[in-house]
Amino acid sequence: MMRHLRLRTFDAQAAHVLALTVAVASVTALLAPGCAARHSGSTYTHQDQIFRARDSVLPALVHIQPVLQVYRAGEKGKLAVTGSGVIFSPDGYVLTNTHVVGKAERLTCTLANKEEVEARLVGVDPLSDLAVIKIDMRKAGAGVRHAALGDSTKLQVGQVVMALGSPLGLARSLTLGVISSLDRYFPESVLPTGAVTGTYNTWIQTDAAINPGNSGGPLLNLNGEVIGINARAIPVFGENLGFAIPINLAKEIASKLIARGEIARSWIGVSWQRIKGLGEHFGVSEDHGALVGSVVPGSPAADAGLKAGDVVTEIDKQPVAAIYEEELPRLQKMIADLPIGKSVPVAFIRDGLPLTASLLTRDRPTVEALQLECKDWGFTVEEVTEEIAQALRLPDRKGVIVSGVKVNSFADEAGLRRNDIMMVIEGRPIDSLSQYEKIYDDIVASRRDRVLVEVRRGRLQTFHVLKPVYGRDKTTGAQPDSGGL
Amino acid sequence: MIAPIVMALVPMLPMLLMGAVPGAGGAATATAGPAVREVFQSYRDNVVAITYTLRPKERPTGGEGRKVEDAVCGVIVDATGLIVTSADPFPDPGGDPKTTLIPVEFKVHLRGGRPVDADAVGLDREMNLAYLKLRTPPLGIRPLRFAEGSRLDIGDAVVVIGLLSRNYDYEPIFYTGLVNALVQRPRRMYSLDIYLQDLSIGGLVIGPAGQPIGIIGEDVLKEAPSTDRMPSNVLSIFGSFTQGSRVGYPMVFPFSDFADEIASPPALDAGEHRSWLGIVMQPLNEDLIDYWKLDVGGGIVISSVLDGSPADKAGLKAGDVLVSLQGEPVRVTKDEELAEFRRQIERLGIGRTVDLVYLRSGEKRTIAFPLGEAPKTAWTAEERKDEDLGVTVREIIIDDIQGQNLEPTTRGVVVSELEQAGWCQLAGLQTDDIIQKVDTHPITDVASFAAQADRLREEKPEGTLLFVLRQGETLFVRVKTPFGGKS
Repeated sequence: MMRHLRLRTFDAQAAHVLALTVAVASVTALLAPGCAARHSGSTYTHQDQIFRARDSVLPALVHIQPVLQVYRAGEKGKLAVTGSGVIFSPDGYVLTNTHVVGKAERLTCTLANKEEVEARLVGVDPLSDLAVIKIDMRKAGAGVRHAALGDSTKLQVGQVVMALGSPLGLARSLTLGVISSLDRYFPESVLPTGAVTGTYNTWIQTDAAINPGNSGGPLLNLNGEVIGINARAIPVFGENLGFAIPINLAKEIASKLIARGEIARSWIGVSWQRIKGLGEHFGVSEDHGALVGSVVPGSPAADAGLKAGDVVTEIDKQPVAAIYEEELPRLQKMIADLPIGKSVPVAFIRDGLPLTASLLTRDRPTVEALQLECKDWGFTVEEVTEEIAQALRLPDRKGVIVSGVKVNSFADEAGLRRNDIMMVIEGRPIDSLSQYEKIYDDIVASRRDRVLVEVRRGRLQTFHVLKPVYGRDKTTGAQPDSGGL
Repeated sequence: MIAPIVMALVPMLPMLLMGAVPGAGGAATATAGPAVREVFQSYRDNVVAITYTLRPKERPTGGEGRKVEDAVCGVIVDATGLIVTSADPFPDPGGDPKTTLIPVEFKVHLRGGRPVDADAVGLDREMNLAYLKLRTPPLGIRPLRFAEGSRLDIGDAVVVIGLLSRNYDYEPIFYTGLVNALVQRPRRMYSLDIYLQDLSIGGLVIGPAGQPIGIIGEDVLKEAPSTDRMPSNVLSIFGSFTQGSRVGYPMVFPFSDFADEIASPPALDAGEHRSWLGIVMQPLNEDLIDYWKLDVGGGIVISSVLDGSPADKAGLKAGDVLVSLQGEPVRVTKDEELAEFRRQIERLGIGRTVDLVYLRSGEKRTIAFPLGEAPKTAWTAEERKDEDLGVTVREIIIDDIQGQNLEPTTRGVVVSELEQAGWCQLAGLQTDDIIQKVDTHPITDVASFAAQADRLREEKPEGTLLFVLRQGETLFVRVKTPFGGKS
């Protein structure tokens, strides 16, 4: 029994490593007593500070064991993972990561006093990888209280910090280190779901050990204030390279999630580049402005006439500066915070001449695509969101996208592949996931054993005949209730 | 003590050549042939080992890619050093240039001499034959005189001269055997009752009259031998190299079938001037035939009609099903049969009228239009390496448009290779990037890129700004040049 339990736990952890793509960083960086002793008379002070900071935040630490709904390889399944969180309000709101609780069917939390409670999902924000869940403080028991949130603008490189959480599922672990960098920039971050994330902040880098399972847990200063939400580490090659989301962004996102359950952001459709090193080619000085690298066709920026190569100096009368790439997240956030659906002036330089235009901002869609398992045919489909349509450069949002195909399934046999867009089934055009679901249900109910699917594959159009045998799983050949030996 | 046994065996062999076996017949067998040893000594120098290196057509990102050395057997056919061999080392066009391996650095091992460099000069994919030419043919090469119009029959005895493997210094080896099957389609070929080892594919076949009659070739099979399709470009456990489903039985290819090719080898890259329809094809498999209740044995579903192609101009559309070509039914039901259809179109040639019957919404229609010339492929596309900038670019081809889902009007050059730690790689340029501008100058083709590189060499700026299309998004990449500050 014990053996069985251990195995299960390890399975979950292994899956967790894969699912969250937060890689293992080795555990080091404990401040050795000898180290502190070098500053004469300070040994006691440091140790005392660490104890006090720990005592302020540890009671707010939450060990989260979500059961996630996952769609993998053409099937819908469940995945037990572990993550961390921190209670930040007297009424039991908990900050954590979207990648920990995003698609949770159930949220079981173990609190600092080892009390187990269920939590409710309040809201997720994939673009920042932040999420808020809520526990019932009346059920929390003694010794559980919320932690104070600090100010991430007041941090310094070299400042001593601690990380609390459940690395590899080891609950209530504390690691110690310093802030290694305050403006770490990652240009391309994606969540395990494939959603873009981390666009609006630079990262607090720390050498306090951060491992899978630390995700969502607090990074705290010696005053016992939470200054970041630990979210990632460098996979495989790195050691002691952990990264936290600055708490000021977390505070803002959390309050919006609590108020509205979602985050509204404006979008103009520009991908930006730093100006440093490029200014001379556009005849501008390199001390202000940001370079337009690409404009999404049909976007507000395209409508306003902005083009790649324009150097934008002002948006909505606020100066724009992305001299170094570390300043790009701030610019992205400034644009995201513009009022949605409002016309704002933009000043830019083209061919050395100052020009102005007006941008009509649009809502940035952040909805995660809904998925559906088509068990009888052996694949999963996803709605075509604006984001997916843009990423795959689709001409429209018609159809549903094949998100996974089960090996040796009827769909596999028919030659369907991931990222195929199913446009027409049995002569019925598909406009949305809900409509597809209805068609699928109809066809399955009628036990139709030849199903013609028209697919958009890149620029190609292909035809496939599904030949399902109902009541039989093609991949195993097993029939339900077949008895047998 | 051994000698007498050998002596005892040798006299028996000419008997085979003379067709003195039960069931042998035909006019050729009536002629008395010379002794096998004489035949062997006469022709062994014409049979040569050809070694070559296989490497990816385009280097994959971050490395040289896989390199493989291999060898085939070939036959020197004339005094200019023309060699006929198997086309097996040459992959089908259209594969991913980063994983498809092409043969380079041909070396011909003449008996008792040093390897001589050779170049590929011709290719016939239909016959699966390749033509190589020695750069400096040594003196005294004996041209082959082929038996004119001779045919073989079941039971005819032949000698095959092949080679032992490298371990035995490619020493010539002969086999004797009987014709045990006559094959009429796709063309006349003869199967032999012998198992050929080592480097014998591409070897020389001497007929019953003692004259060269053909070479041992491997037919290109339409279907893979088993349901497990072999993945492209795998080294088989035998160490021989197969590209995709290009495997087959060893057969005698009579010289008479390609005598005109020896006189004038077909262009190395038929892709240079291939005829095409301009469609992307899906086989009309049994399931689709059943579903649509069609009374055909196969066909081609058009997946896409390429803009401006002959099919486009003629009004064919995606979803149309081609069922007949030049009055003959199209019998394509599997992916591996598409290549044969493509070859049929190529055989027709540019400008020839193609007669097609197709189905649109279940209705049978006919159409006739002239075939156009196919655009370039990654194999034939113009390419240029700039050593100073550390980048190789090539012109945009139809596969880029399809593969990267680009607008058909996209202009620029594709980065096909980057020098490790070269200036362009250091600047963050990536392979498959499409360079659309250098500074303010639009790039439309390889020549315009080369002109800009020359301008940079002349003007010696410290850096240059590339405007690049990467996965559908544009960006600027500043490349420091090696010229700056060197004036």
